[in-house]
Amino acid sequence: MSEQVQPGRRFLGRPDAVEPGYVPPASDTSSRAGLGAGARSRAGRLWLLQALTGAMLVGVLAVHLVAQHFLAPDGLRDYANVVDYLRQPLAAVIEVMLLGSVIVHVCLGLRSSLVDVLGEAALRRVSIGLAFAGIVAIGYGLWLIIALLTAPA
Amino acid sequence: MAAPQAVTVRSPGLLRRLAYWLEPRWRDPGWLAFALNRLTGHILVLYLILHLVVLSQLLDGPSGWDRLLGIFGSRPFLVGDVLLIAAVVFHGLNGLRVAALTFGYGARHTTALIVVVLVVSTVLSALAGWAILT
Repeated sequence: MSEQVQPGRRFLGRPDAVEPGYVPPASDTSSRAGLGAGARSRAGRLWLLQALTGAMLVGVLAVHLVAQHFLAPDGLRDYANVVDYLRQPLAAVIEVMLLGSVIVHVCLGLRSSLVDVLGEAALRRVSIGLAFAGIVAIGYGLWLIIALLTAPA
Repeated sequence: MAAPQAVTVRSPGLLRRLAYWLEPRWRDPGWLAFALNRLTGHILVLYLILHLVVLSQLLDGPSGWDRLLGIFGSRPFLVGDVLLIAAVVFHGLNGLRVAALTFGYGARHTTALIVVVLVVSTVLSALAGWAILT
């Protein structure tokens, strides 16, 4: 494990009592400040993306839950019902939006958690791994939706 | 007078970093919200993976999917659904609070807003539980 000069206060990946998505200011003496201005502004942009996908999720996930469970007979759609629902253009668009926003949100959330635990040294590996996993998950979800849309009724 | 020397320490290890998340001492309500946000987030990630895997049964047609509906409608699964909705509602509401905080809203009323998030989450989860289990 690398050695570092102790900052002015205790820092174990995230200072006490800060909210998720905290980005230290440029004057911060903690380890994150050593990443450089480019990495800090990237962290800010990724946090904004996480907030935007989170806000989007509140809407599309609510529609998904209500449509798939609360409006469905007995709370669950059978196969024919699922296919019928997906074949409505608006429903398909909402499901694709849900897929994209949830995967991006999850990857960014996991990135924060993993970097907090593994340290900044793992940032690049974690980012690449999660980006790959996210692309695979979105590809799988789109393939599933397309397969259902083209399946015989 | 001698200049103060910088103290060199080792970076905390993996276990200590993990323990730090769960350390309740010296914390304020913001920590509770943060810890719950992470906990519910990780639960939802696990559920999402399971959900995507289960949805692959749709590719087997009605025989694959409709067979699962009986299991999903069983009491233990419905109780799980209620807990899942509680996690979704809390994570969503707390996420909105944190996003607002990032843009400069609510910083002076953090504790009050956390209480509001917890109360509204509990009420909405209870209503969802009532709708699902009855």
